[in-house]
Amino acid sequence: MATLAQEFSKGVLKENPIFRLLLGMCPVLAVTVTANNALGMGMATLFVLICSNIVVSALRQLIPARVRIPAYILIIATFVTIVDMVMNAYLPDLHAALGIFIPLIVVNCIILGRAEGFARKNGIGRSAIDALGMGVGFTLSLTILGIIRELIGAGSLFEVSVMGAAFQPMVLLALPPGAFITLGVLLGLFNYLFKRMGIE
Amino acid sequence: MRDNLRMVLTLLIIGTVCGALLSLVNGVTAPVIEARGQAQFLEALQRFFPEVADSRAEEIDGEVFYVCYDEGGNLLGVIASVTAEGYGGPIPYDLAVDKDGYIIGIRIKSHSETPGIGDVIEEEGFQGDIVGLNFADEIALGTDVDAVSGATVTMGGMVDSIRRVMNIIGEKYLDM
Repeated sequence: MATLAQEFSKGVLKENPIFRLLLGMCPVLAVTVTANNALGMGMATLFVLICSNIVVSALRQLIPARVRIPAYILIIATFVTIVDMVMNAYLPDLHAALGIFIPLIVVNCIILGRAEGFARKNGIGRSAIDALGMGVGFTLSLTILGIIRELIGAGSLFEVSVMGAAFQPMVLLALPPGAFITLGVLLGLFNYLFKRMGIE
Repeated sequence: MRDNLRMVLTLLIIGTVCGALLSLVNGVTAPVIEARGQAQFLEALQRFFPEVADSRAEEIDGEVFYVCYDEGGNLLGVIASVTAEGYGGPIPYDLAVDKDGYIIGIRIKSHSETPGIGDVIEEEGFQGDIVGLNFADEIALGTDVDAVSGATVTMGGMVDSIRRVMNIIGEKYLDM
């Protein structure tokens, strides 16, 4: 059985949801225009992931197998709605920027995937660590994309201008094609690095 | 039979607990959200009409017009909270018009126009063109509002919407 440290690190590296599993691509492409949005989206997903994994794991003996998927969706949707309401109340700017992609966390396949693939079969502590690793991996990947796209597409970093007045931003990177291009380049880079590190 | 009952009960219980939790959180967050909307509106009111003492909201086809009065009950102007059709979707904005039919302010609330192209509507150049226009002016691209190449759909949508809103305000509130 894997140690807790391995349980955590697999989500960040070996089974990174974005660069290894290519799961949950919709928010990855849509909200990584700026580093702030990417980080906010990552944190929101991380929160939902941890909460849903803990609850699914805690109820794993009680939920009959044939209705487990609707039960998981109910649990996930509840936490997503909580995030949506709390963010609308206390972080209105971020809420406005992320818009429809907050409610869409409900159908993010990483979350249902971890509930079905991990939390259903493992204890509460282990499931929480698994969710933390996956969530951190997701957040890091999103933020990397956001940093690159904001730096080149707008010449700023976390909304602070860093490239100087003479810099001419390459707007393409802030547009949808820029998301695909950046993701493709990063995927190639990470595949190369993982191969060098001996991780298949 | 017992299995079916158990499935129904499980979902029922989970659903009930989830619903209760959500109504609890909503009870905390809804007043905060409401208060912020109110504060933003009051701020806009103060900015456009500093001497406002009273305002009345009227809904026309789903869009809200705030008619503003001073202490003596004299009409100061109208703030329209309306929506234009842009290139990337709806553009909700506020348009403030004084009692003589002059546009005194415009505030884009949000938009999803193309970065670097359609977002000129947020900039000084476009907003400066709009502010100062009168009900009697043409309000059209290429005459009293400068067109920006590449942003035709965005700006056309904004200008058409402003013309339409001006017509409503002029006819309904300013007797023009």
